[in-house]
Amino acid sequence: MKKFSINKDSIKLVIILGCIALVSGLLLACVNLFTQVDEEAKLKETIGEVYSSPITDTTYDMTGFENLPKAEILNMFKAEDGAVIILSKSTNCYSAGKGISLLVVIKGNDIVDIVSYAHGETPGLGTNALTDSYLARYEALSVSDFTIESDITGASPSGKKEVENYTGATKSSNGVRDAVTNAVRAYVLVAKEVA
Amino acid sequence: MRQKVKDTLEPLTSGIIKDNATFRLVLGTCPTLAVTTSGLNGLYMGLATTFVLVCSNAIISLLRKIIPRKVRIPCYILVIATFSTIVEMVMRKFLPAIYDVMGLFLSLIVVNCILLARAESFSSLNPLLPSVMDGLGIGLGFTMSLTLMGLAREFLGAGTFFGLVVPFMQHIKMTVFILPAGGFMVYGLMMVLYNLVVGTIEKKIQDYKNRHYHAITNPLLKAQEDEEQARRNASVGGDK
Repeated sequence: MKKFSINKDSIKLVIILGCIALVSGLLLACVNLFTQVDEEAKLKETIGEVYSSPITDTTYDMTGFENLPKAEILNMFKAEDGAVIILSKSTNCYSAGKGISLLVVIKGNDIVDIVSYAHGETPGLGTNALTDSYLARYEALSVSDFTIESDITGASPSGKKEVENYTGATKSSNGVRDAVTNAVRAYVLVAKEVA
Repeated sequence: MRQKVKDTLEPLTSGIIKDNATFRLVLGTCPTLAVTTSGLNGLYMGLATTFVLVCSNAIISLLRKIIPRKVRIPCYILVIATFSTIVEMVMRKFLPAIYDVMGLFLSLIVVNCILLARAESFSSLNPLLPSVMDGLGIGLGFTMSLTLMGLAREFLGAGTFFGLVVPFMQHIKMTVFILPAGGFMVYGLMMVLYNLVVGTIEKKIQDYKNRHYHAITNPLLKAQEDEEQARRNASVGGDK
């Protein structure tokens, strides 16, 4: 068995590799200082573009709320005029890793607006289910058109009135449907209780 | 002086056409197929790779006498990873829409074989300026290929051109072209087309150079060839 030994060459290798790593680290730290993204500020900025009424500091307790399978409520805000803005994500779509995140604005019994916030769907294909014209079909529905059950065991994400899937973008349409339905559930089961 | 300029610029032109990374060397196939669902995606991916290529080639060329042979690959990867992370950070901040579409493939620039191949075969052996030119040439060639592929797939598959709707394509668009299968089809067809066109042009240039060189270096041989050609023409005329 070859005996392990530290010689001048091996020290040189470690020093050079260490120096390059140190310089790389310092450079990345400097760049990071100028390019850091504040996700919450970005979200609030987008909400400001989507809905004109300013958001309040009201927070919602999501304890006990059960999400639909492959769906998640990322954030909920209350606007000064009483509307609730929900950031809802579904991974029941083509790019399950990235998912589809929608900003759903609900006021009273109406779905005021739905906007795509983030997604990883194929441009020109899956994105057809994220266009304003397709999302407007959900905006035509009201909260009472959805089947709301606090216990999701055996519950279908579909509602009393359904929006047809976009032909050629079935998986993305499923993602949109689940994200919207979960947002409406969160509004009814969590936000309305607070209100 | 003229020769020196020629030597410096040679890697630039060669990287774009003769040694095109996508259609000639068939390198970086993974991002080529995955990202080229639209022309703009291809363009941005190509530009990001070009930036990393130029910067990493420059640094590796400067450090070529310091980096020990035994640890050269970890050193190259470290340099490439630094620049690809910088690109990722900058794109995330200033181009979030493009960053979202590229997703994982921006991080995967680190293991793009074009970068490691150029570091190992060119910049670690050559001075700064030719290395930068090589990075720029290969990068621009890669950008050109990705943009062309993206445009072809976008046009045929989504009926758009750089995101603008092409009215007559809306009824005949074929979705398969923006799916992975269509990516392979377009890649294969464009590779054939590229090699056919560039190969023919290169052959013609070579033939012209050979003839020109022949005439200058050996006028006697050229005269004999001309005589032979004239005789052949006369004999064809006689047969008629």
